[in-house]
Amino acid sequence: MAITQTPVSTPANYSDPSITRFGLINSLNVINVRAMNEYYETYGFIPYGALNQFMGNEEKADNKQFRWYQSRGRAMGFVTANASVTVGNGAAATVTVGAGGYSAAGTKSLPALGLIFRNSRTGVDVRVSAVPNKTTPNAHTFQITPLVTSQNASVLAGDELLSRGFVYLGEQSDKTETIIRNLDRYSNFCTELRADSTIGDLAAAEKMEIQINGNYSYYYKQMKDDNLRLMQELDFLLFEGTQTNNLPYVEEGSNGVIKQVEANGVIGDYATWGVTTTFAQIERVLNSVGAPKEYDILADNSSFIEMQNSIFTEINNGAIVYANQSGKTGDIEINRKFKSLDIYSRKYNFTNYGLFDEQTVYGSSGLGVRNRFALFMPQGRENTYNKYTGTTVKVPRFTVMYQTPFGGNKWHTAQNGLFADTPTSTKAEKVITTIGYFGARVVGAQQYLIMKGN
Amino acid sequence: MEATETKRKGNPNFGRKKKEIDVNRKYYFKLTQESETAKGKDATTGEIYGSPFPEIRFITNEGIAKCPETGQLRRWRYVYGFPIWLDQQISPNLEPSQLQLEDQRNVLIFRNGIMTVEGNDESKLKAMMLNDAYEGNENPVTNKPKIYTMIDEDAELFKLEDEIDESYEALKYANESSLSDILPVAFALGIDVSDAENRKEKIRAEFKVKAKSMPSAFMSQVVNPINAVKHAVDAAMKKGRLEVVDTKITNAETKVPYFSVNPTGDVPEQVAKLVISGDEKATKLYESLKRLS
Repeated sequence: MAITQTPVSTPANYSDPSITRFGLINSLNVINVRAMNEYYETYGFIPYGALNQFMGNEEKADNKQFRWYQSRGRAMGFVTANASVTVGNGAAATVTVGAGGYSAAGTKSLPALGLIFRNSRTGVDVRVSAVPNKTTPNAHTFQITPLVTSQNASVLAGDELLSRGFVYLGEQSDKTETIIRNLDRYSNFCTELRADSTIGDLAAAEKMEIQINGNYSYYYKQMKDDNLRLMQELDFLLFEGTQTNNLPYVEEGSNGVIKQVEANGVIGDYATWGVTTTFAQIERVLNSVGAPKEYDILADNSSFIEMQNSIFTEINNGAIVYANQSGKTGDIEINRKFKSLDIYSRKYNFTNYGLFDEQTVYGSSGLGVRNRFALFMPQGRENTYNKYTGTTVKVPRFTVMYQTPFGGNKWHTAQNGLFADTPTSTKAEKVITTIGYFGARVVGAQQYLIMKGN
Repeated sequence: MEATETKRKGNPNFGRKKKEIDVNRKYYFKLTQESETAKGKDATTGEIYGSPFPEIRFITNEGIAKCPETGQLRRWRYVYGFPIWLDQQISPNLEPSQLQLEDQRNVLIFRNGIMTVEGNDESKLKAMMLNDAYEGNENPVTNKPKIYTMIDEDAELFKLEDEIDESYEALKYANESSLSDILPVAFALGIDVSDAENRKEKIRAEFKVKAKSMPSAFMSQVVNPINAVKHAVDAAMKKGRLEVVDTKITNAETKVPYFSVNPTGDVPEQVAKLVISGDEKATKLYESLKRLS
């Protein structure tokens, strides 16, 4: 019996009116693990901004200037006494609200009739028995009477009077004043990041073909270099950007994370890094600003090494982990890399962040202002007030804001020249322009921390 | 034979005087780097609430400094209640315990840009002055950027008093000067002084506003001798008494040239500078303009 061969069901060739195999893509617009893996292979660290975009911490800005609102300070307020007042036991004292206790251009302050305060120095609880003057800007006065006749309501200049709320109100109490939380407005700008590359006709021989989802695509080596560089420049913009006022054209610039933290957050210097001493100091200041329970530490190489060494030397047994070598002869592997430290009920994740290391990025001396520098980024989400809807929403603490002025992708790519998809001139070249508009939004900058070794 | 005293060399009144620390006084240190653009602003007024400094800024409490007595490098470390120099702290019986080293009073913190140091905490005061980040440290060991300074309360007060006095002088001049005295200064301040006789109330009103809003700049124009000359030349040119013909400033009636000027530049300014420098021809011209006005 003859064996008949079954025809191959997928023919080798096919006919079609034209070839449309090649498509120019900009890998920057394809946020995927491949792009970041390539970045990591080239530079040795993951760009934190791009990582956050990958996690979805990005938002389109309605306007070049974007704003966000935060409640100021704490839920519980306090005022200080402007000057000393001395009275006898059980007597009322009339106190003037000290500087820093006013808002709305000096017209609003906390003391209200019936509000209970505690003098933090003396521990005496007092009740606001009168508010003689709440109209003269920056000179409000209020009368305080101790709750117990044997106690004394006297104050010294600078005494802190801590609000305890409306308490001990008695039967058929009257309506109390509304305690309103002040709102602060923060603003920043998206700014333009651009790269132009002119590729001559002969240089185009360096194009590199890749497959995306089975379709052939291509990009040029120059464009690949541009993209890698743009990812890094974007991170520099998001972290190191600054607002400008001395450019020969109108451009506001954009404050990066570090500028926002330097203005609103906590900044500390250290001489030598100690697990118990430095982290104890950090714990005190972070606790005082109501910080969350987890931080990412982006440290330059020097401070990263200092932190790792301090853990190694101070934690019992050097926190060394030995690989399990039971039953085997031969080499033992020692692990001494500490990814995180949970201390004083707060967790810190360590990253050797190359962007802050000038030797890594530029190959320069590395002894500039970012030497021994670490940025503590709080994790989680934070409340911000949406002024338009009147509601509080939770947003990521760090968000990459972007704009697309004419629609399309975050990174806009266009071509010019004879070899552009649509030729624009007779010059035998292709000019590839990539433009993006980005800015950093830092919500709750008060809970960020910069540590600088010196 | 009487013993003779050996005469001391030099004047004992001149010597390096040690600055005494006043234990009853409070010393204030202030950060110098302000951040305005990134600070939160009051949602109602749009103004920065509080200070332009971060809420918390703490600095290192140990380092190396040049010893004021010996000039040698010496380690210092601030531990509350202990001497400032490390070699004095680590002697037996004096060494701070672990708890004392971790005392939070050892932390040097600026709150909203200000740190207050009691005069009786000499070690803390020395720590603040030995730190290379202090602007007043004249012998720094490192190139650390300067980030804070001491507030000299008296100097701040007298500086404020000077500003108040200047403001008072400016307003007094604006109110009491005659129109002829006002016009050159008003001209320099950019006030329209044309048809002065008919517009003198308005000119004086604008003059007073300038005095109130920018007293320092106002007074600098009052004392500037160039202004009188500039105004006289400008007025003469506007009234048709002077003109510029072929790079020479010329009497418009007699067509007699006085001296050369740059016709494309500020002619009154050029003449004024020549007068101030003592140029004979320019001075003669100005004197004749003064007699005419």
